[in-house]
Amino acid sequence: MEILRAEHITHIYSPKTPFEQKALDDVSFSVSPGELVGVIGHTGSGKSTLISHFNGLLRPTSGKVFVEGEDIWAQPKQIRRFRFRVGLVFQFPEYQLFEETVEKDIAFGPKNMGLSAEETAERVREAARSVGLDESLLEKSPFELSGGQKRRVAIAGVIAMRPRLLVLDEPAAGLDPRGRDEIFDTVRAYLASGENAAVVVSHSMDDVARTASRIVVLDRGRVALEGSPAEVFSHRDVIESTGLRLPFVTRVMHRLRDRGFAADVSVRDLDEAADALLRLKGGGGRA
Amino acid sequence: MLKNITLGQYFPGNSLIHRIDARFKLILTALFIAMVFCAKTPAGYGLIAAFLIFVVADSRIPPRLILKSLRSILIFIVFTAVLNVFFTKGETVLFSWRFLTVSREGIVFAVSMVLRIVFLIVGTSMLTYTTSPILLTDAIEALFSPLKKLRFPVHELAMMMSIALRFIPTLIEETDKIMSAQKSRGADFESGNLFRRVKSFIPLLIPLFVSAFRRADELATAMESRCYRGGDGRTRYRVMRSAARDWVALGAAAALTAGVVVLRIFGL
Ligand SMILES: Nc1ncnc2c1ncn2[C@@H]1O[C@H](COP(=O)(O)OP(=O)(O)O)[C@@H](O)[C@H]1O
Ligand SMILES: [Mg+2]
Repeated sequence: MEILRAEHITHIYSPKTPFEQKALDDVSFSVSPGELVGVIGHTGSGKSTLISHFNGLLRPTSGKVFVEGEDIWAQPKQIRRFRFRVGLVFQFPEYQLFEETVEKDIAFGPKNMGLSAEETAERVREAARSVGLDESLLEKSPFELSGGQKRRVAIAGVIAMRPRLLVLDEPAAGLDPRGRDEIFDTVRAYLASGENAAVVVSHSMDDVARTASRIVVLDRGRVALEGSPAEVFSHRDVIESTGLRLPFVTRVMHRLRDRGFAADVSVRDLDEAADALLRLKGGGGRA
Repeated sequence: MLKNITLGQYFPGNSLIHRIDARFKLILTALFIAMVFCAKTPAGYGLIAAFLIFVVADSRIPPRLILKSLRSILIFIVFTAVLNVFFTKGETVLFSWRFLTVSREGIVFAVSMVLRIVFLIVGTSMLTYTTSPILLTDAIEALFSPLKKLRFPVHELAMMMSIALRFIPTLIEETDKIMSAQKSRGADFESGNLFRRVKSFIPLLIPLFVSAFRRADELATAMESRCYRGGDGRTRYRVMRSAARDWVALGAAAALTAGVVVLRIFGL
């Protein structure tokens, strides 16, 4: 069964005021176990608004959200339950740290769930390990850490709740290439059991291209494209009209095709691109 | 959510009222307040009401917005009215029950108090509706600049005020974001007893302070790298110049105030 299903979500900010703004317009979206869905779109296309509906931070102006088959707004008073099943990591999550020690900060979520002290401690250790934080950092103040470490603490804080669906809003923003790779490795590891799923928001195709099993492109509050990375990347014109860019390697392939070569434009990372180029060169024999 | 609170409530426009020099508008507002406190007679209140209606109509601010600013103090208005009706001692008793008496004087007094409050709120909010907060601080600085001679840090205070105004929306947005982030970790800001509720704000307040200090630091660096060193010898990007219409407006308001005072003296 799908972990999350959002049906015909429309969201209007500040309705019936001069500041009224339709941020989402009839968006449907679903995630099944094991999937890693990439949501991409230009700044202001509604990505953050969309994911804020997944754990009930925002209530849709119209439309319904189901988590594991349950309508999350059936009992608005009970909405907090869904925050633990759909774990949301905001953009620049390092700014939400507040505890004296890293350990306590990661434990904030599990404690709110009402877990026992042992269970909490166990989850904190596991979450810290899964984001690659050294045990020795647990006793430190989160404010002493580097930017990348802080972000990992914040992500661990959500992972420690063991949500079925992990949602990250621009997790790689402002990180160096290595920090980026580590974040995506963490997300993939979280999916390894096959029971969980993840949604990663980004405005960069390169980030999402290599990891996502499915991509949803948002444009001005509507779904412009949806499908496997190869399918989505084949619509170069649509993607470029929404103000986005294809991943670098895909752009290289398109450029070759423009120049009359039969290049494979469905490649999504450097290895695939290298293979495709070798095939193009003929024979593919190594020098 | 929090974004909907209109702070500073500036409503851009190009009406006569909008274009009057901010320094004059401040003085006009002061005159207006004096006018409201001088008025005592129906004709006086009528004059002020006519003046306000003219200003509101000219500014093209939707009356709905103005009513909204009144709605937020509705309780206060009702409270004042009720208190004055029942507790003003008067000669002409209209109605009496146990310790409550309603007199003609009480009603008159209550009505005039309510009118005063409404006039004050609407009048002063016309200042903030039609003047951008930045212009307003500039005007305050200009009007108080004679105090510089007494080594009173007028410029510095005005700068602090404009910075504070500039960062209010930013902080509101930030509060919104941190609240959402903590709610996503199961924080509960809404239920529990007072103690628990106060405690639940720690995860909000600490990150908010940390980021406010970070912003202050960054701003200080940015200002220093542009050689800011206080008000001495600093020229302005927006130079305030008074025009004929400013003096005309000032004259008209002065005449109106005089009119209200005269009406009061003659008890009309
Ligand atoms: N709290 C809010 N109040 C009013 N408008 C908002 C709010 N948050 C976002 N918006 C508007 O909704 C649109 C979508 O924003 P957002 O979901 O943040 O886009 P993205 O995450 O893709 O950059 C934008 O035009 C933005 O200005
Ligand atoms: Mg966003």
